[in-house]
Amino acid sequence: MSNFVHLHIHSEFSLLDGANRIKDLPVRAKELGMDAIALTDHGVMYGAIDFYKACKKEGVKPIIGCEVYVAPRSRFDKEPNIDNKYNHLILLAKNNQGYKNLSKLVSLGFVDGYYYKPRIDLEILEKYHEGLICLSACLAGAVNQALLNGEQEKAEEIALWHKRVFGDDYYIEIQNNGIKEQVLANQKLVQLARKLDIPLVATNDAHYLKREDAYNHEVLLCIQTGKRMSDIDRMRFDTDELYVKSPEEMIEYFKAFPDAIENTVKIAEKCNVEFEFGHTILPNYDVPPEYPTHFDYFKKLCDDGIKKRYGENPSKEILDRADYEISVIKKMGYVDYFLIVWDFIHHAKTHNIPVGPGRGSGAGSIIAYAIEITDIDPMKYGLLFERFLNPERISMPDFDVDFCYEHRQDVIDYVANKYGHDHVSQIITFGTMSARMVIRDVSRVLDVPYAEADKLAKMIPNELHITIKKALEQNKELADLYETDETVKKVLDIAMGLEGMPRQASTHACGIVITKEPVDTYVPLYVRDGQISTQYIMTTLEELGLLKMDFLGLRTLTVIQDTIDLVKENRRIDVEFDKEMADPKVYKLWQEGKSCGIFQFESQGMTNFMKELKPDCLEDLIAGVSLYRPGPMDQIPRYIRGKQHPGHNEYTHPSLEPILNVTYGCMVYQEQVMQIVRDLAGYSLGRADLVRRAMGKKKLDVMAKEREVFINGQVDESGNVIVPGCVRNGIDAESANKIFDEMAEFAKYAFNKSHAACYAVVAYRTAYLKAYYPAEFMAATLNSFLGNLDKIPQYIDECKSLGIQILKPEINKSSTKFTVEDLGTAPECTERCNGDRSKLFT
Amino acid sequence: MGTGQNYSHNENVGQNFAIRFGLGSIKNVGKAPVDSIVEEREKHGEYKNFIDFCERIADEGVNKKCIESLIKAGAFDEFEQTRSTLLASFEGIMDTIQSGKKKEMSGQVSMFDLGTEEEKEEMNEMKYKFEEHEELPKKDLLSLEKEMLGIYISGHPLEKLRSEIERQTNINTIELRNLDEQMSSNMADSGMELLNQNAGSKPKYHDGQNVKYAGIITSIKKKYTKNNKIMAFVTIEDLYGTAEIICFENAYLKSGNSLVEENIVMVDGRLSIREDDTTTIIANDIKDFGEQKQKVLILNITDSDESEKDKLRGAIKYFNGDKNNINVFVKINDDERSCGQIYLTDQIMELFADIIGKQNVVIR
Repeated sequence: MSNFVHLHIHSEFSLLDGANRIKDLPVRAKELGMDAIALTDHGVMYGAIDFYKACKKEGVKPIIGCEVYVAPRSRFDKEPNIDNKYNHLILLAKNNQGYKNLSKLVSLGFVDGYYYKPRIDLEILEKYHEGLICLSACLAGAVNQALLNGEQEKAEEIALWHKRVFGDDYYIEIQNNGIKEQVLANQKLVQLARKLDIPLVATNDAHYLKREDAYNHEVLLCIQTGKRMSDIDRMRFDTDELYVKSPEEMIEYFKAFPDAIENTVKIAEKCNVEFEFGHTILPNYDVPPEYPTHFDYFKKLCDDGIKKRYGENPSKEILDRADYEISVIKKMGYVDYFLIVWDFIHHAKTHNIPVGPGRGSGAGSIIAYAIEITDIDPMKYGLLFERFLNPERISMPDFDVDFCYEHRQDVIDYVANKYGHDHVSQIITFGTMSARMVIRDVSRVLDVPYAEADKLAKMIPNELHITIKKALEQNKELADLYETDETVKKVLDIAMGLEGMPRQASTHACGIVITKEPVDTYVPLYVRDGQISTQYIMTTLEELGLLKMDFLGLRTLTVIQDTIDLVKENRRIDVEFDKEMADPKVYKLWQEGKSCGIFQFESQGMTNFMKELKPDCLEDLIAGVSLYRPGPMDQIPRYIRGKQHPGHNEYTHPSLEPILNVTYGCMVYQEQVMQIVRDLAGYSLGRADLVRRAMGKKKLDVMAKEREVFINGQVDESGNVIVPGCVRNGIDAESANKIFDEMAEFAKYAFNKSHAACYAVVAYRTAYLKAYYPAEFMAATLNSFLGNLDKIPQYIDECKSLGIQILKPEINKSSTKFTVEDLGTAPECTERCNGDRSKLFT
Repeated sequence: MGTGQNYSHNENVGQNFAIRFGLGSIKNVGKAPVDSIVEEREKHGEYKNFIDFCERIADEGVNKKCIESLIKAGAFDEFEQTRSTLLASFEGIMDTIQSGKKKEMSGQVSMFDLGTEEEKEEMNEMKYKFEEHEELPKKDLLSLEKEMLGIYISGHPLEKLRSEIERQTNINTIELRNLDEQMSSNMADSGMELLNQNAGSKPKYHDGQNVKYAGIITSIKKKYTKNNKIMAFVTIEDLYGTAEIICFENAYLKSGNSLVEENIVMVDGRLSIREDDTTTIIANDIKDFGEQKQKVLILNITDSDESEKDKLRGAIKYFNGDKNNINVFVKINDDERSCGQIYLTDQIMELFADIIGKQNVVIR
């Protein structure tokens, strides 16, 4: 155990003024010989879990805390000039109960007390004090303020109140921060502490890592407050001592009060919060009482669903697949997950809320298809369950769902009603300072002329995940400037110091979390514009085992539904899509280049590709969606050739044919990689998925190992064959090697067929509507762009090329939106216009 | 299979249905006021005339800007007044209504409110003043529609020029789009083969070819190149679609005043066919589209002596009248100078030819 621990630290997640990167803190602590460190950001706990993980990785003990704002009166009081005078207070969690209480307090600060800042009050501080240690904070702490104002009695009163509530867990905080008022305050604080018999604790209120970082920190303050370094009234701290000091420095400074130093260690010993990762916590789901277990209910839904989809006598293949999936779902403990998802989708479908046929890998599950979570037959299109739920890999399955844009909120409301409004929340997301952005910001703050800043920023390549460091390696011109130009060096050095730090918080567009207990028991909450979201980002929530769903709003679903409604209204027809999705009249649209308005197929390039390809089945559409991306695009000519000259496909080995013939010899899908590995080398699909992942992420060591297994198989110590390998299956090693190479090269571009298939279904449906009910379809499409004057002309052009007249707005005939009017069978209507728009004006 | 076959009318079902433009899509017209307009109409019947409309929606949050936009978009064309009349009158009418309402609220009963329907209508005529105006020229009406709706709807400004445009141009937007498709169909190696199969003959257009294209300018975007030279991206719309025309500095300066939005122009330029980009035209010159070709008579007097020149001068002056049909230029070496207009006939051509020689009399 070291002899000093920092208990008051601000990280990059103190968005206004913290410049400590989370991952740097435990590393630095260790360097300086400390084995524990705390995190206390302003009013928030955004970084708590990342901090915890980073500390554990370094073998440093994490102390989870927060520097809260305390309202002068009640947290509900929000009067100008009175209630904006809040105080600071440090809270540290001793144990998991303390963490829960801290989370609660921080949440209430936002939900109830937000007024310029998230503020708690004494009422809830007392209510939720258990498991928390309390420090009197910096100069903005209530005790300090009172002392500095000469209000000795008041200061004592406040201190005694805290002592009463927190008992031995309340400490008077003295700081070594170089600010002159602090020196005076320290003296008075020690006096008060001794008088009232309250223990002392020493901190440094660190906002950055090392003394040299103080300048960067000032620049950060300018960026976040919109000032420049040259502004006189910019926010500044007037000290360069707010860094993570070494124990020696702290001990030396406070040598008159060794107990303040010792107490930091004592406090650290008291703090032991543990988080559990990977353990799924699902909300409570109630099944109808006649079913003894959840599984019984689930099984009934599955059985009924299989019959509904496949008839009274489904084939053995189907039944085997269904049984297999059910057993895996049960074994991995996901029955409730399926039920929860089934439940809200079922609600949507029975309440006129359009739901997409699926998204992502979920369509690979026959059970999902049976109980109508998804709407595409995995058997027919070769979609794999293991791509969705891999029994050989522990991870939560992930059903993301598309809802019609207009009604997405209704589904969220349903879920909130069912599981409790405080059990459902949106999810936070952070905008970070990207390389180009931070260069511009730093330049502005340092009064570097705009043109120069712009030029410098543009020298950073426009790639995803680019950093200034990488750019200096890649761009010689930039590197030279850095060496020769002082200003450039200064700007870039500071920029690198701030790059990647979070800049502001906002709400993720589609993420929802649904929890067993109220959300704020696990995760503190944040409020912005009346919207509540979690303070941890999506991936963190998943690591904590919480149920996260993506509810996406898809405008196309709205267009489809609106079209169906218009057709019903206009022609009294109930639209029914053909189940086979093979209507030639529909495919004609792609063949003739009339893809305008068709989901996923509207771009010029995609239109031309389809016109060339002449698709006539859903598989072609699925391939189209998958291939038309940078990378796989190179295979497009081969695919087209393969379709136009059937029977001429070349395969490295004949065993590839049944797998690749559906894509004319090209490797297009991740599922195909999995199938190859299974069919040729005898892998289980679960392991095949792991191989695919390793290839996709270029995990060279795993790949090398699997190459060997793929070719020659794997045998256990007793000589039993675990994996036969290609050679045992009669495929020569040379071909096997070549095939492995092809897969490895291609795996990073391979597309998830389930996802592509779902989108192809949506595309087919939009095309079907366009082919049979063009007027209604175009009207619905135009309506989805209401208010967007840019897009309207393009779709009106399309109307005209389809032979649909556009009638001018009339006060006695028009509605708010575009509508369809029946002109009867007047002769002039039946004239074909052939792209000549002028003939179609009224 | 598929309900598409349940129809009794013809195959191209789209042709029997038309799409009615929504009021909410009109610029400066918000959803809420329009919803009120439609609701009021559904509750109490169609609007009988403009006054009826104004009176009924006066309380519904429909402001003057909204009404102005509706007028411009042609929403009231079915009523007897011209758009220009309505534009000049609507504010006054709305003011009258508003002050009437104020009086109502303060309890004052207007004598306008007593009496039969007929009397009321007569009273309305006294109460509300229309400032009558002749309708705006078609061109202006179409401009307003373009502004309010984003498209031309009750005609196209180029319609009346259709045949003239066809006569004077050698390419239109449909052909430009076809070139795009041919270019990008080179995705498959067999693309070129297919292209030749389909075309049957030698392609009509090639990169760099000189073309003439005409249409109406819908937007002009000026930019400065690295060398600080001006250039412009001009979007021009013909009867079939829009095309991008690129003007470098020379062309830009030459085109001068013709480069104005809503101007109908003739583009003289070269085709730029690119593999990875849409086909555009690089302009040499953009000028106002004339109904007739501007013919010029060039008299080459490089080798002429003074007496010949005198005779020409006299002839030009003599043949210049009230009705001229050609511009006359005299040419010395490469220098051409304008020197008036005349009414040219074959005889006059012969006369000039006699004076300075047949080879020196050229029409261009």
